[in-house]
Amino acid sequence: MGSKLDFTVDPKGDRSPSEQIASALRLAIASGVLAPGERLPSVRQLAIDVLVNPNTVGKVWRDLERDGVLESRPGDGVFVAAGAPALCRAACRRELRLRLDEWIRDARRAGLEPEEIAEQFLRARARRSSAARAGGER
Amino acid sequence: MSSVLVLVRQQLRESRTSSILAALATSAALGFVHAWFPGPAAVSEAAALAIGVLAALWTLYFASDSFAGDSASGRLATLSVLPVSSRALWASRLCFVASTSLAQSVWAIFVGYACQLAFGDARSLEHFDTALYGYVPWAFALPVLAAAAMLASLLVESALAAMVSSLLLLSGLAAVLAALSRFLAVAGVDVRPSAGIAATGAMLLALMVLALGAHSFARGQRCLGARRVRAFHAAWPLGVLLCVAGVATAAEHRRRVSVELESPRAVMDSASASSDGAYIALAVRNLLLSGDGSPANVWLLDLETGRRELLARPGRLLDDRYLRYSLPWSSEKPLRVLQNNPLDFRELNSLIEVTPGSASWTVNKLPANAGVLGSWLATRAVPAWASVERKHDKRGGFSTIVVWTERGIERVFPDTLALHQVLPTSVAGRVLWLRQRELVHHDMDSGAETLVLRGEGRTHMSPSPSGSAVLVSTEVAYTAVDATTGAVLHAPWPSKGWRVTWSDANDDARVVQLRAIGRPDVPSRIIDLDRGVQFEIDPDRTQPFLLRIAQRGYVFVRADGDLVLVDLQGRLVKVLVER
Amino acid sequence: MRSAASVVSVRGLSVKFARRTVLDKLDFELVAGSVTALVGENGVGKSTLLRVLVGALAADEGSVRVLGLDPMRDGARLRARVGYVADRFEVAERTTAREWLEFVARFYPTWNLAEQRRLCELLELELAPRVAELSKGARAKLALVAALAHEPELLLLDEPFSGLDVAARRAVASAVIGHLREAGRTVLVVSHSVADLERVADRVALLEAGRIERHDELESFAAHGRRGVDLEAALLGAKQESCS
Repeated sequence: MGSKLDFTVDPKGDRSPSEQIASALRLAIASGVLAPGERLPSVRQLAIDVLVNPNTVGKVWRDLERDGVLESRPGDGVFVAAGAPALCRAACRRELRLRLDEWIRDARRAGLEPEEIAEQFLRARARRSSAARAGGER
Repeated sequence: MSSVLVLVRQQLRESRTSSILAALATSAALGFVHAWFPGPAAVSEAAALAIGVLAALWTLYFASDSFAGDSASGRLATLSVLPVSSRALWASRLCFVASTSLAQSVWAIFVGYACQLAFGDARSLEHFDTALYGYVPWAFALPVLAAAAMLASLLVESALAAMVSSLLLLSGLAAVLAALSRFLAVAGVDVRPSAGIAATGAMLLALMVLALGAHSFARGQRCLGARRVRAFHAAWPLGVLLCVAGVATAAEHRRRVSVELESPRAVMDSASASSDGAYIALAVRNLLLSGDGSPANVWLLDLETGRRELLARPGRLLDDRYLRYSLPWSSEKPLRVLQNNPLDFRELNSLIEVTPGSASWTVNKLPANAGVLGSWLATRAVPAWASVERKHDKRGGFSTIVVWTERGIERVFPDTLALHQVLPTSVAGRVLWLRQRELVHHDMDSGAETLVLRGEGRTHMSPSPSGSAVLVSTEVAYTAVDATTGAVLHAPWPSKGWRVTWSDANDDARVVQLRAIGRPDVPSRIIDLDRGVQFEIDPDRTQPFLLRIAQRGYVFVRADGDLVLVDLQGRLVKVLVER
Repeated sequence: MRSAASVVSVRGLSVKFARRTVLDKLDFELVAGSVTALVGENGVGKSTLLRVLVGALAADEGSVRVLGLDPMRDGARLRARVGYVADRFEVAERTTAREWLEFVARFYPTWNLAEQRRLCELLELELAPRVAELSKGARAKLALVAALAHEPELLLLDEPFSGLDVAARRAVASAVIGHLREAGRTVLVVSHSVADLERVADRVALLEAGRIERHDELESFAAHGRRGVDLEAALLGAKQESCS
């Protein structure tokens, strides 16, 4: 079960380890890797896999529980809540929008005009599609 | 307990190489000894000495390394965070040093005997046994050595420096002990080194040093980073101890050495009056319970004014070299006083001469000089024509040699004590000689002998201070006899129950003192043999001191302890020193 | 603030070296189950505090209680329940790593041989060579194994990441986090490696001017102007604040 959550925590990254874990978990739920009702790995196991303090992981679990993404059944463990996918998708979208805003801001500071920005976006999207198709053919 | 064993085992394992090398070195050294030395006695003595030295060396080596190397490398710090108490760590090191030292010593002895069996014979083996046995008492030195080295090893991080500093520490201790033994000798405590004293002392010392080490180690363990703190914690108890010991010793020493005239514990040792009777020199000392006195203090007292001056502390009045009477002093023949070293009263510091003047005295101090001292030795009782010498017999006794200088005649009197059995008289060539039980006059010129007095049983002869008369004591009676003529000066006194002695005098008077033995209620009698004056006095029985001063009277210690002067008829003139 | 689950309780601790006061009436509390990072400038006294806690150094003032015991009086008993990895680790020249572990194991009644093997495997530690021949990283791993194999209630680590390559750091972090699988175990880590601390710790204590200036959840060390946790910036910021 833990193998489904295949991500690493980069302590040198922009975001704190707990944020990285929460983000990765939301992504997994949003993308369907983790389905509602599925049991999550134990806090300690995930801590060992991901190499983060178990308390940190536990805090993430509690925060997500508060947000309604996870629900804990005493004695059974922690499970993905029913309405989680929708919540996570919304959260992921919010996060992406924030990152996009940041990217655009940086691009503007670099001197790019809005038309250029739009062009960059389309070009990048095209690149990704061709790469996906090439990977799919193989 | 088990953790100590684990630590000891580990240390033994770690020091495997050094132990083996040490054992090999021992074997090589002893083999070398056997190869180098020729005869059976020499080789065995050398081997025994080598074993002693090697035992001490390995003890010193392993003890010096007990902490130094490990603390320098950080190994001690690594060990100290294991679940072992500092006490266990200390104990394990101690066990290691003890066991290694013992093992190396035993190995050395074993190799010694093996070499004897291989290269020696029965004779050398016997020598070896005796020599080795002679070193056994020194075994007590090993614990002290080990303790000092362990202590040094705590304070110094290099094992070699620890070895050196422990040797320095021990030399320091030895010096202190030597000085201390002198103080104790002054105090009357006999510290002649005997095996018992040495062993006890060494064990106590070793324990003390070890306790010091354990204490400082426990403190040191807490402050591994601050070496200065460790040294301080180790040193301050020792420093305090030494200071206290030093202060106590100095105070006690001073108490023993200085004697005040008025001190109730002071006793009169001897006295000497000036020829004019104006001044008197007094030697007093403290009477201690042990019976051995402390060295005397010499005071000078003006009999008229009572003024006094301290001449020597400690010191000695130089008296007649053969008899124990005083030498009266004048401007031609000054008073001679020896001043000793206050720290070692057996050592001579300076020579003092005192010359009497009309109103006061003059003191002259000279540096200690054996030649001058030799020339100072004098006697009153030998007349000018003769010179007397006391010689040691080949068999260990004494003989007297009398030389008639003018005539060049020499006579040896074997088995005699100068002046106590052979006394030259005022007539040139005539010698009074107590030969076994007969008192004879011996003519040096002709060799003729005249019987003066026949004694009975044990007979002794006691010359008067000036040598002009003798007291012959037998088991029955005391007889006073003129030395020159042989005439009896007084009716004999009974020996039983009485003691008759000459009174010391600053002139040629012949005065005897009769003391009743065992009867404190009976007063003493003074009899002037020439003038016929006699009177009674009540002196202190424990201080049989009496000095006649021709111009003034007699000085003695009264029963109540005061030093008093009575006139020539025995009436009290004044109290010189009140106690 | 004293709770029953207090693993370390320090009140008014002062430690002086010669003329310098390193720790000045320090108060410190450590609750069970946390991994606390002890941070601060070089030479501020972090290692000193650790040594006081393990009983290798005596306090000049104040009271120290670790696992309810006084490190000075009950040092041996305490050290049987505490794992300590010092910044320096010296053994006799010829001792192999295996021999060292065998020697150390005799002092700990709770030594777990299976755990020792597991840790050696996890950290990829070879026990055959002599300790003196081991690389710095290998030596650090050995010290960690010796500290963890007896399953201590309290783990004190002094610079466990220093001088290690990335793989070794991961291994050490893994060992420490693995150690936490039992509830109630506490860890106090001294390190300069902020990245590793952010991974492993959930609380941070900042030692400055001889005292614990700040002792909080890792999350709360938020820097101004940047998202999320920035411990490094927080440390710099804290310094600036105290200077101004």
